[in-house]
Amino acid sequence: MSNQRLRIPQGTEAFYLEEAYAHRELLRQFEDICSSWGYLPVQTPVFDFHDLYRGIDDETAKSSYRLVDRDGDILVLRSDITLFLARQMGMIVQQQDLPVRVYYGDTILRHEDSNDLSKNEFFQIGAELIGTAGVEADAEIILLLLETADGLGASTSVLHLGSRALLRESNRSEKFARAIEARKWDEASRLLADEGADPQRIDSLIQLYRFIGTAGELRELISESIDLQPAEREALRYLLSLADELSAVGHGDRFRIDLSEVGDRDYYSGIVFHLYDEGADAPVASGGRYDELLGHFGANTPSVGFSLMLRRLQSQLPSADLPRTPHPETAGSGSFRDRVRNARLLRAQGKVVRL
Amino acid sequence: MTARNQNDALTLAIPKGRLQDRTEELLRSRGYEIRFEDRKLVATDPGGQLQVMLVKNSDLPTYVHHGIAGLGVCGTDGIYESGYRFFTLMDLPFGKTRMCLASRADYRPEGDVHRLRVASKFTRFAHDYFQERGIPCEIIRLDGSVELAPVLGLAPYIVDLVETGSTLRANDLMVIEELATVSVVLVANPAYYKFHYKRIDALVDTLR
Repeated sequence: MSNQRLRIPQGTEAFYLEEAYAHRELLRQFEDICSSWGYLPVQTPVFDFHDLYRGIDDETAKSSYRLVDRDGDILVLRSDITLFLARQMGMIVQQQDLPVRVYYGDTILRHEDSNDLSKNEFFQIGAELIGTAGVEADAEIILLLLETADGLGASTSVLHLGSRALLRESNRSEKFARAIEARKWDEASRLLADEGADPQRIDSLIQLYRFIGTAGELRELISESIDLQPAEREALRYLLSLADELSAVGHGDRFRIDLSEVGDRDYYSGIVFHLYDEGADAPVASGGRYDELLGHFGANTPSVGFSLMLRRLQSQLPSADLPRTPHPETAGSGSFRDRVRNARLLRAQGKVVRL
Repeated sequence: MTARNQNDALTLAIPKGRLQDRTEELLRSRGYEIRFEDRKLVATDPGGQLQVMLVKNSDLPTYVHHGIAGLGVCGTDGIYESGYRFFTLMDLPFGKTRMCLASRADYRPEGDVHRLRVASKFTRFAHDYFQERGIPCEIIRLDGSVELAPVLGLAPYIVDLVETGSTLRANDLMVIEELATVSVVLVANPAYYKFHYKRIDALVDTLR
């Protein structure tokens, strides 16, 4: 017991006073941005039935905490809001309501290795556009993410944009996806060779998945005699038209096409992206399109969204850029009743007053 | 938590010990002159391109994982033991060695051996290696002079790095099986690489 007083369970976090104030302010700024874009808030439950999520996403399952309720059902604690939100939306959205725009901000609980307690995956904020497919919906979510990053102080961040759809056309094995994501080109080549791809095709695909750069540079690459299937070219054309839209609205310098971004969740089906910031030891935000996810929960409708690890972002913002607690004024030196009266007047003028 | 530094140089952790001189020599030959002032563990090349941090070999993956250094020079053995995921950017032209299973030259197991007893510094590697092959194994962690374990009777087998084999021979040990090749690689924290990929690719081209 006395030993436990000095420890905190892995995967949990508490924060206080000025730090908690800054967190709340950042959250409020995010909520204001989302509201101004016409998004409505959603709240997901802290736990749900484990079996509902079985087989949808292995990565999430690995890091989730499970418990047994009084009826013997296995429950899973919220470790990824996207999944819990899909389940809730799957239950309630009707075809006539679509599209639905929602945002959220809440704690998540994930197992973390004892030697790796700095991942700061404790608080997830995000937004989703449900019921619309296509370039404009994808662009809307990316623009909302970039405006959120700017609003929260991460204006130097850069979005790396890739495509799970492209990967699905090249090779559907999860091993291949993981090799590409880890930029292990020898292993990716070997996996392609094992499936009978000829050397020219392997060379073309590796050249493609290594690519990081601008839309112009990608156009140049794929106009060369590179051995691609029509469906792969179609996935690239889609990505390029999305890139054109983002550039046309003034964000050409905020993203790079990066085809090694293939999504770290099984449920992605279209575009995928990560947001990187100077100094952050891991991506601060991730997202993409998951058109089949809501179908698992009864609503066969497309969806695209992002989630941002707010505590991770906060931890690497310069402290001077974080919201500061206001300096309260005193309510004078009279009796308690006088001070209350005085404080009411000052507060009505927008001042922060301490009794 | 951060690999920011004042002069915007790329940050590189290099290990103290046997790999330090070879790494500095390679950097020097490519135009990055690194001089650590007396007892200092951080130095920047005169061109301001590279800030180099000198850290303990076994701690190096931790520094890179947390982004304190964006890049690191490390043996694949140390990376495997850390369990962290990095981008491997290139093999460096030195420090190749072998991870081997060894025992006393005169050791003969008595009766049926149902369970290997192995002493090693590389417990994660040893555990995974034998488990993947379905070989029951008891791993005893040691932090140094692993070759003493069979000599003193702690464990009949060891898993350790073998370069020339002279240490093994001096203790009457012999290699039973080579388990893996170990090389020295340049790795990057994935998020750091993504943010700085152009400059890092240029550095890799220079080092090749």
